[in-house]
Amino acid sequence: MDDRQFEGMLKDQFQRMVDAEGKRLEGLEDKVRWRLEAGGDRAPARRWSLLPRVKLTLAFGTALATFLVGILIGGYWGLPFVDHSYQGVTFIVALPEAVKVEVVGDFNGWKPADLQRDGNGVWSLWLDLAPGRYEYAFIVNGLAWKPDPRADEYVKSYDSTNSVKYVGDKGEPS
Amino acid sequence: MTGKCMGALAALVLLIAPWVWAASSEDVANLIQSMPLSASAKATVNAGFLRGIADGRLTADQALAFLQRIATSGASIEDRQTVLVSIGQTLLEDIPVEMLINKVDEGLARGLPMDVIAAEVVERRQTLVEVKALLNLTGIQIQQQTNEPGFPRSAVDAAVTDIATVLENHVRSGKQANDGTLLDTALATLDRDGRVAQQLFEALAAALTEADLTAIAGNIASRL
Repeated sequence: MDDRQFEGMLKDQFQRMVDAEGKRLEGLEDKVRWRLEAGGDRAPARRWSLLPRVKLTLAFGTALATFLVGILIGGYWGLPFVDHSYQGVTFIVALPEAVKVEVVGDFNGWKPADLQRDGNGVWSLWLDLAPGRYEYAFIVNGLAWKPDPRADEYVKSYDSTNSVKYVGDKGEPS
Repeated sequence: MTGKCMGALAALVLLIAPWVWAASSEDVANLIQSMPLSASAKATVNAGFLRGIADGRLTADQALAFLQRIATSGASIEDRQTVLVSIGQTLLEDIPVEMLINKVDEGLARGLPMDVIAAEVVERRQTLVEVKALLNLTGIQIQQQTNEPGFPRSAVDAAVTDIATVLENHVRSGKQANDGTLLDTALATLDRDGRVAQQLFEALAAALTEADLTAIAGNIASRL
């Protein structure tokens, strides 16, 4: 078989393949041309070109899952997820000797939320609260319920004292 | 393509998950039916919570979570029933229950016995009833339909809760019911609460009197 016969045989074979998979190969020529013009010599890197898309999908999925799990957990624990323009409230107390400080209140179903300590023994926690009036207390070292020295006011509850904070446009301390 | 499909499917599942997992009124009713309450107590609690869910005073999730906390509290059936019937009755009477639920949660967090919590709920419920009746008498009511007179439920409920809290705190702090400071204190609290809109605040300021609040505070003092 000479070169011409061999070339003819290849063409016939190729034509049969094109006929058999005509639809699937539709536009193949354009795709090949486009890829060559865009740097066909980098063809082996094709499998890597999918990676950013996969990463994007994973990133989107992870972000969405985190957001939704946050909503679910937040809903379960009574944490506020509210639509308002107020910039939230920071609970802050100086207790250098404390090893743990938590805040409980009617904004979180009286379930303890940890405050974070800074280097000077000041404990703080920012919460996104809707406008309103909130009763709360600090729990120091897991035991002692303490009022907030910076509260807007104080109320009696169960023979003890709760702190009160007003949140929102009308609630700014006067 | 498969990766994209999987991603889209995962996103779809995650998007609908909150609705699939969200509690329904039926879940609340089923839980109430499973609780060891008397038949009449079940009827009151069930009707009250379903009404509260229907009119937006609490969500099915909140109701279910609260009922589960009571169901698993380990307290006597009598005390649990007292708490639940008090709250159910309050819901049936179109009165806010935010204060009562908060006091139950606070009492549980403080590790107090359920009989103490139940007594607190029963006492504070009566104050809420009297404050709500006072507002009704003065014509301050919840707007039931658009274009009808009245104020938004959330605002009226907040006002009832604030006034009741002020009166309770006044008496519990050892002050005299008739010391003449109740109206000023109540208005100051209402003024600072962002949930009470200015129009409602002005209506309350015009309608409430020191004598009305003193009468309710006197009733609280007689109960404590």
